[in-house]
Amino acid sequence: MSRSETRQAIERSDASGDPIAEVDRLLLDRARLGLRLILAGVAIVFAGWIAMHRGERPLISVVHVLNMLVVAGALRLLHDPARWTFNHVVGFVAYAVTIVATGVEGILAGDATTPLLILVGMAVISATMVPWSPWWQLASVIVTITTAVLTVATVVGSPRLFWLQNVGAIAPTLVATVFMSHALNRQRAAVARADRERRSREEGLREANRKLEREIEEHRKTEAALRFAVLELDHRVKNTLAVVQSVAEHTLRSSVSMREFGAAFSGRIQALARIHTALAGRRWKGLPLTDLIELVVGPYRHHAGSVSIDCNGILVSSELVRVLGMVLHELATNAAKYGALSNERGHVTVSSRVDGEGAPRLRISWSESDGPCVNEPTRRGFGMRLIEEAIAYEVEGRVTLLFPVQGLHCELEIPIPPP
Amino acid sequence: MTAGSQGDTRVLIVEDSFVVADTLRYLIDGSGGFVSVIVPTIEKAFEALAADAFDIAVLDVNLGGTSIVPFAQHLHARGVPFVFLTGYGDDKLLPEPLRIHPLFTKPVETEPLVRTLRALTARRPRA
Repeated sequence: MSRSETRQAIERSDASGDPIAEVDRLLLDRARLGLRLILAGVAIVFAGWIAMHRGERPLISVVHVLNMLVVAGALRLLHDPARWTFNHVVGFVAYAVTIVATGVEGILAGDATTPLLILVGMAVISATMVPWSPWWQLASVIVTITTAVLTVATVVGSPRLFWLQNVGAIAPTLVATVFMSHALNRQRAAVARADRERRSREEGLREANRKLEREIEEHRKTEAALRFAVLELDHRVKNTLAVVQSVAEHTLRSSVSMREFGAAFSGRIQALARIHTALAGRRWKGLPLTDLIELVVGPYRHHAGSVSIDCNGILVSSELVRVLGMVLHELATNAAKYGALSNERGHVTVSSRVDGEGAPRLRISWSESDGPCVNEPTRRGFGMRLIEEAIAYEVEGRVTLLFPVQGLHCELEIPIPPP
Repeated sequence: MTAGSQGDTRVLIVEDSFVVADTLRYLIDGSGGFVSVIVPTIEKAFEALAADAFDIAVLDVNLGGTSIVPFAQHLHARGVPFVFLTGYGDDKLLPEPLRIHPLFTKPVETEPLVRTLRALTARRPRA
């Protein structure tokens, strides 16, 4: 089942309403119908009594009127289906009063006809008050009518046992009423239990649905992040290949022999690879400047004293690392070919500092000494151009390249963007 | 490589990596008849366009996270021909009207790129 189908199912079951209220409303309707039938029955008997025995035994008329008043009052009280216990009590009282009144009338009248009529009417009424099982209704009708017929038959045979008629009229009906009330309560409790269970199942279903939605949402996010990562990776690979292609072109252009090309090209690619590895190792969160210099200049050392680095804890962002790494690599290869790293005695000092309050700038000083005598090159190769132009081009920095006779000196000045 | 002469086609290359931009300039200019200017950002591209007239442009789609699209739309509106370079290998990032412009995937092959630049500028009268 899909998510939307599940949700629709839950909404449908919500819309079907509260089954307990449904039961209560039904019961109230039945009770009111029953009381109206009682009222009608009593009224007909009363009318018959008045017609046939005008002026006789006025006490019977009083009992009739009282009985009708009680039933009519009960009808007025029964209107709110939610007042389950109250309705029950009112209905029961009206019912019991009618039965007692019937008995009293029988005693006062001294005949069996009136109670018999009312008894049959009550059997029908009690049947209508049990909305649940048609078998219950049928049994109720049969039991009550049979009891009444048996009672009357007994009384007709022996007029002195008249009191038995009243007992016979009252007792079975009263017992039936108690049983019906009990059955109704059990039914109602069963419905309430079923309803609680349904609600709890629905809540479970809803919770499962919410969990599923959360999981789908998470999955969607992960998928989007992954797709982005793949796209980004593709982008970086293609860009890296473009850089490799460019490095190859330039190296080819400035190399005199294949041997020279091979050495220079592989040196540049290895520098790129080492920088990439270091950056990836730190999850692209930049690189300490000391580490970067060590990475690109390290391979050109003759001994521990060839290069000294003094860059106290400056961190370089991964955007800057790529261009700065390439520039430092070109300075190192240049030193290895022509400068201080071309012999054992030569020495390179790299130092750096950050200055400028409002707009901080990273200054890196590359100073060569004790190498061969230096002459300013007449022709600028790719490496030199890279040193001089790349930083200005990519990060708007400034590069000063000096060729004093004791050794090359390079000053890099790079603006640090605000974080 | 010869320095640009009067009749050369002026090319504006917008590419954030110096090494790649410098190589493009070297390859395009080296094929003869072109003189290129390289700029790394979209702001510098607008500045260059304000300072000089260009016959054609070569545009990297993604300039270190910034999209070239506003500049491309500017050129498109002014009728200046251009080609795209992309690392993504597709033109999904470009709005529909800009997709009529040729797109080259990095790393770029020089021969087809230069041929396209010549074809696009041959049809235009010199400004």
